[in-house]
Formats: sequence, C-alpha cells, structure tokens
Amino acid sequence: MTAPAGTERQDAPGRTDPRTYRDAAREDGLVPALTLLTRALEPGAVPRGPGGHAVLPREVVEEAGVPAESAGAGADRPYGAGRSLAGALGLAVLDPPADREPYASPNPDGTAAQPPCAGTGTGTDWTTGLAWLRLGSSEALRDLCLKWLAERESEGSSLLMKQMVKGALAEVLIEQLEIAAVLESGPSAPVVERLQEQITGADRGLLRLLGAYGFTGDGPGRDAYASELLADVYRGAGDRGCAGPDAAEEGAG
Amino acid sequence: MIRELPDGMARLRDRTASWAGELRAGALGLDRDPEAIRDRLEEPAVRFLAELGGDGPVTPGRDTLERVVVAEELARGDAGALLASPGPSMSGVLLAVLGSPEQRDWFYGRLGERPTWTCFALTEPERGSAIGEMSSVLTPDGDGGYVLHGTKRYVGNASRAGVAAVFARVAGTERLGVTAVLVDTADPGYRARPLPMLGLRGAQFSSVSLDGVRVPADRVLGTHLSPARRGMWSIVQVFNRLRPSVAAIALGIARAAHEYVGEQRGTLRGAERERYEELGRRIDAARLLTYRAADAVDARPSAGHLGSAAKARAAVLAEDVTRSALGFFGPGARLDHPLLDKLARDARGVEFMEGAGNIQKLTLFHGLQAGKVGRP
Ligand SMILES: Cc1cc2nc3c(=O)[nH]c(=O)nc-3n(C[C@H](O)[C@H](O)[C@H](O)COP(=O)(O)OP(=O)(O)OC[C@H]3O[C@@H](n4cnc5c(N)ncnc54)[C@H](O)[C@@H]3O)c2cc1C
Repeated sequence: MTAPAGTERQDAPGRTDPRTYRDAAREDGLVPALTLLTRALEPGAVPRGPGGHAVLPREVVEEAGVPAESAGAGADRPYGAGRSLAGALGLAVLDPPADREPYASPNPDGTAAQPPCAGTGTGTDWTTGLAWLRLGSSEALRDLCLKWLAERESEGSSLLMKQMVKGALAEVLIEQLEIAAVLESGPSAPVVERLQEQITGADRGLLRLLGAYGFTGDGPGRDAYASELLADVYRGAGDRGCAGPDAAEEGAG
Repeated sequence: MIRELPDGMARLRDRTASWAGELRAGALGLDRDPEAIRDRLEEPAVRFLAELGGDGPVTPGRDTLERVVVAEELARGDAGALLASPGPSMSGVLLAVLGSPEQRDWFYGRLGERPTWTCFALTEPERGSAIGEMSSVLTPDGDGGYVLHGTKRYVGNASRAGVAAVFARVAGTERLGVTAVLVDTADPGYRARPLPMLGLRGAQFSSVSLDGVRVPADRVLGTHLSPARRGMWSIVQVFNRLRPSVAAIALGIARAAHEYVGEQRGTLRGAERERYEELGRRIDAARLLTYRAADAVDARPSAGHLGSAAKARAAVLAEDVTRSALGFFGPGARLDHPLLDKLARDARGVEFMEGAGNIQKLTLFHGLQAGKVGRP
C-alpha cells in the first residue's frame, strides 16, 4: 500500500507527494496534472489500464514514441464523439494493442469479465495518484460553480444564494472532504476504486448546477467527461496484478 | 410491468418500437456529426416525426400519453435522432394550445412542402430557468405587428429550422408578460450558430440572435384567445404537456442502456443479476409515474405537478442507469462500448430540458403547499 502522505509535501527522495497532482489539477487543469503524474510515475512509458487502453496527454504518448492516433484493437470499431471530445483537450485515446485478445465475453459463472493484465507498470500508486488528480479537477469545477452561480441571477438574487443551490454545493463539499480524508489515509486498491465512483458523483452534482453551460462540448463538462474516461480506462488498475515491481512490493508489505 | 394501453396506442408503440434497430445503427454517426440526419430523411422514424401532427393523435384526448409512448420508444432507439428530426416537435404542441386555425394551417403548410425543422427558442444566455425575466423584446411596429430583438441559447435545431417559435416580452409590459411568436427563419435579422455539446448532439443546439426581425400581426400566437389565456397561462399549459415526454426520453435512454447490458452480457448471475434487475424495476416504476403524469395532463391541462415529478425522477434515473451500465463491462468500457458512452453523455442533458431538477422540485413544493398534488 502507498505510504500515507505525510504532512509535508516532500516525500521520500524521488517520490512525488500525490497531493501534488490534486494541486496541479485544481490550478493548472486536468491534462497538465496528468502529464505530471505520468512523468513522475511512468517516465517515458505509456501506462495502460487493465483492459489495455490508455488515455494520456498527447505529448506524453508522443515522447514515448507511440503513435497518438489509435491503430489498436478497437480502431475499426464504430465510435462516437467521445474520442474527439477527449482529443480536443489534448488527450490521446489508445485502444488495446492489436495483438491483444479483446475480452468481450463474460465469465461462464456470470461475473464480470476480468481482463488479462495488460497494464504496463500501473499499480496502486498510479490509481491513487489518479484519484488525487481527479479530486483536484472536481475541486476546480466547484470553484467554477461558485463563480458562475454568483454571476447568474433570478428573482433579484444570485443563483448561488438560493438555498437549494447552497444545499447541493454543501452535499458536494461533504463528498469531496470525505474523499480527501480517505486519500490522506493511504487507501487500499478497492477503496480507491470506490473513491473514483464518488468523485464522478461529486462532479455530476456540480455539473447539474452549471445548467446547460456544463453540457457544452467546449466548457467545463468536457474536463469532467475526460475525468470519467480516465476513471473508466484505469478502473481496477490498482488491484488486478497489473502493478509494476515497485507497487507489487508495496502491495505485499 | 407495462401498463395496458388503448388499442391504437399499443399498435403505435409497437410500430415505433420496431424502428429502434435502425435508429441505433445510426446513433454513433449522428453523435459524431449532427448533420448526418440530412441523409436519413427517408428513414421511417424520421419521416414519422417530420409528418407528425398532420393527422392528429391516434387516440384523441390522450395526446400527452401518446407522445410519451412514442418518445420512449424512439429515444430507446436514439434520443439524438428523436431530437434531430425535422417536424413540428415542441412547436407543434405550442400551436395546439396557442395557435389559431389559420396559424396552424400556415405552420403545417410550411412543414408539408418538404422536411422542415422547427425550433422552440426560449432560453437566453443570462436567463435560463428564470423564464419570466427574459430580455428578448417585441416592439410594436404600429401595424399590429412587432420588431423582435434578442439572443437565445441552447435552442435545438435552430440553425437548420425553417420556422422558429420565439418567446419574448412585449416592450412596456409587466415582467411576466411573455408572448410567443412564429418567425420565418429566412427573414432578415434571424441568425443561428451551432454550439458544440457533450451529448444529444444530433439536435444541433444553437445560439440565436434576433436583430430586428419583423413579426407580422398574424404570427403572434394567442391573440385570438382571451387576454388571460394568452401569456404565461398558455405557456405553462404547453410545458405541462411537454414535460411527460421529456421524462419519456429519459426512460428511453435508460432502457437503451439497460437492454444493451442484457444483450451484450447474456445471462447474469448472483449480485450482478440482482443489480441488473433492480435497474429494470426502477425504470418500470418511473414509467408508471410518467404515464400517470400524462393521464393527469390529458384529463386536465393545468395538472402539471406529476409531470414535474416524473421528469425529475426520470432524469436522475437515466444518469444512474447509464453510469451503472458501464460497470457491467470491464475497464475501458467507454471505449469498447461507444454506444454506452454516448448514452451516458446523452442522459446528462435531460436534466435541463423543460426546466432543471431544482425548478421541478420548487414546482412540486408549491403544488404540495397548495394542496394540488399528493392527495389521493
Ligand atoms: C439537451 C438540452 C436541450 C435544450 N433544448 C432547448 C430548446 O430547444 N430551447 C430552449 O429555449 N432551450 C433549450 N435548452 C435550455 C434549457 O431550457 C436550459 O438549460 C434550462 O432552462 C436551464 O437553464 P440554464 O441552463 O441557464 O441554467 P440556470 O438557470 O443558470 O441554472 C443553473 C442551476 O441553478 C439552479 N437554479 C436555477 N434557478 C433556481 C432557483 N430559483 N432555485 C434553486 N435553484 C435554481 C438550476 O437547477 C441549475 O442547477 C436545452 C438544454 C439542454 C441541455
């Protein structure tokens, strides 16, 4: 398990305090934070989720010498607008490598299919870092909500001052505070999985408050969409034996 | 758990349901490119929507329920195509409530010439939920007509519409005095520009600018009605009739995701099966509420509270079901199952159609307090 983050930002030499990703996402945005995360944990590599997909900053993928346009297993599948929405943010969306067995079929016992591990060195550090990053992105969305709603008016007061809006924001805040508390504790892989769902829930609550603006393809909803995509692609990357040597050791300890 | 429907309506449901496969096949293409609808004008579902209203409802007096039944089935195929199709759409309902026979003739005459899109322009950049505070303005031209100025946003199909229903205030009237007019979009001063959206992209939501558009007297809706019935009163009736079908769109989206899981995953067992069945039960429950809401409005057009409940419930349901559906597949489900990814994006949009969730809840509260809802 990842050592609980200390009170100081500087962890052991060579390791970045994972809270850095939260700060970066909140202040600089989702994609710069993801660049930071990848460079710190997977320098020069293209970390893939357990299904073999990757969603990474285009520049990171190019630096690793991998074509940023997907030519993998799903490249000839019909696709919707999701990829171009992520692409417009500067993200490369990679399908599993072409030689990899797709796992579409459920297990005979009816449980969800567990993919063979295709992750490259991803592990609990990665998923925990991702959760911090997504939390920072969610907090940035909250900052934006406050600003946006303060500027919109109805019946003589700003939308921010409507009690229902205050209540909804407080609900989201409770979620985010709890998520941060759990992340600070150095959570296990299944706990991080749960946090990812919780972060998505918080984002959805905030997006509702932004009205149709949060549904525009070039607005804040696009970052939230990319954040959901990250959670989806790296779902289970921390606990399916896909971890690199470092994380595997820690996992055993 | 599907409630019995009158004969003609059950047949209509089966007919519209039979188009789901074709709609689904085109769904991702339309998601990528909203203009792809132009190549699909011969599809039965699109033609049906384009011609709707010409023949009237199959079960007169039950038109809200009928729209609900149709909307659910078509949205189960593809909510994007349902909203992207030419035809009377929401403006048709507006005309049914507020239009004179001559205005309806003009409107349906235009639509009869060729597949024609219509739009319903209400929302403004600064004022979404606060409809009564809109700033688009109709200035009398001295001839019984008006000159229209204003800006609208998030208006479905506005950039390809031939006829636009536009809501505005008449200069010098009180705050809530909202009037609806019909605008020929070829007239000078009407300009619309598509906006990029995250979901329901087929509908090509647009911003509209109205710079001195001339509105002749005979395009002002409701002038043949008593003054009390012209403005907000009628507009509320229109929303009451439309809201159950928005709930039905959410139901259709939820069902599409739920059925996709069933088809792709085959037999489910254990906790997964329980989870799947519970989602199905939630969809059925929301449908029963939506049907009730439609019945209430069909019986009494001012009885809109159940519609608010149904719409608020179904919008959340669509988000929940589409999110859960992704969890039935492995990591990368959004990429491996692009249709589910699209449904999850589409589902989010329903929240804002015909009034955001908070507005529905406020309406419900007022109904509760006034003793108009929640009584046996
Ligand atoms: C898919 C889609 C289709 C649409 N189609 C059309 C169309 O065809 N024509 C058209 O004119 N418009 C259309 N709209 C716009 C839609 O009508 C508006 O998005 C909606 O009315 C909400 O307005 P807003 O987005 O400005 O949100 P805002 O009004 O800014 O609301 C922001 C948030 O504040 C909350 N809020 C607002 N007022 C209050 C209050 N008094 N008390 C408590 N909470 C409050 C809301 O619930 C929301 O969470 C569409 C929007 C979408 C997303």
